Amino acid sequence: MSVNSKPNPAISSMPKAPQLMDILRCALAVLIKDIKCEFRVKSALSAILLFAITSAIAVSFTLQAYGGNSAVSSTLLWLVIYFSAMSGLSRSFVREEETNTAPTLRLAARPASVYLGKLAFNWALVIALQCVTAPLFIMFMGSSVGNWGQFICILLIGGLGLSAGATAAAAMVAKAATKGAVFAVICFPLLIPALVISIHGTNIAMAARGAISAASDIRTLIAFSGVIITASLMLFKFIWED
Amino acid sequence: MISLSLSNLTHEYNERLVFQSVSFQFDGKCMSITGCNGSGKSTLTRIIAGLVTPIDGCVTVSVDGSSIARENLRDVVGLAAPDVRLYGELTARENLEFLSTARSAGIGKHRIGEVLEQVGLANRGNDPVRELSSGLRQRACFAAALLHEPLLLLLDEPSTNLDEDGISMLNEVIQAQMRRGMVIIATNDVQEAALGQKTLDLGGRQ
Repeated sequence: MSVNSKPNPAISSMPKAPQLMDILRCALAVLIKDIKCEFRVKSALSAILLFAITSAIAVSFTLQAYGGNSAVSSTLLWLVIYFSAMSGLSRSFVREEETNTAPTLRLAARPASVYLGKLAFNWALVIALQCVTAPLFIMFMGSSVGNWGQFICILLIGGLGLSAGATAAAAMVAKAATKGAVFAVICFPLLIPALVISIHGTNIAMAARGAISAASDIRTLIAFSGVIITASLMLFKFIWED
Repeated sequence: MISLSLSNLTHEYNERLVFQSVSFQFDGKCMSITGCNGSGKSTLTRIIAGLVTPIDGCVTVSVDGSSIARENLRDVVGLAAPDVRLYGELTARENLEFLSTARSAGIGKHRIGEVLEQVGLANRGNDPVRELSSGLRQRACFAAALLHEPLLLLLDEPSTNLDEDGISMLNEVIQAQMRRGMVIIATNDVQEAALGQKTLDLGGRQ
């Protein structure tokens, strides 16, 4: 048996503990990879947008008479956003399993980076969905927005809450046989708090009643998202790895 | 110096026993894993790579006497297997660029060019992987496994889909890996299995 007497450069670079910047750089790489793949296949984007545009227009035409009622408008807007998002947010993980690229990703990237990268990708999808749905919905329903700052803030942070929970749930169901049904069942209890707070905050932002502010809803949504992201980061290793 | 120790490994899928109490020690350059279809060769390579947790027993990969923790195995191990694929929508080069950033191992662009050259994909590196033939996709998978210069290279049925040139490239890759560290080949091919200094035969179906 021959032994290589030359010093092996790979041995001198033995594994080190990951630094925060390494995790974030790797998460950014996962995000960019997912965006590139999505723009070349458009599997999640088309599913989400098709559902969103159809349901926003259908709901707007049928319930236009309620456009001036901010409680009804905000509820309908978030229902359209929620169900449209549910139709596509599981795709990023499911596609990895279906195309056998999940082992490649597991071998290359640390679980925390995978979760953060996929979360960023799903959040970007939800923002793209909201950019299309919200203007269409407001235009066709004839609704008005009293406080645009709070309205946009609630949409963004509510979208983050939905994405955070949906990303962890998507990783859980990616290997299941009946992915769609299991994804909806896991997401429903997990995301109900974010959905209810988002509807409440959007109602206030649309109505803009005097001193009543949606600030407390925004703070609660930030806290909710923070808790879900922290818990997901702690648990994701066990969900993602075998 | 890298060494591998398998201790009382047992694994099953859906209550079907794949293998039981497999123990093996190896600190040489090349070993082969053989056995009938369904004997667990691919499963064993995945267990060694840290992708699958055995239901019992443990795998220890040590470098210079220090065992590598499972979460750090990805820095030491490269795996090329039929069910470990690259992103079809991306080009081979884009796949390698993604993997090099994801690994955070300071892999330079020159290394990507070098490894594409090594597997004979220098001229097809900018083609989407899904447009490559099965043999060229196999070469792209070798490039991904070799990118970070792993000390332990795991090859599962490596010559599947390869033409004569491909098999010659594969032999060069194996020889280069034997100089760098260790290579483990899971195969049914007698010639490939003969490259191993030691053979772990998983036998037939349980």
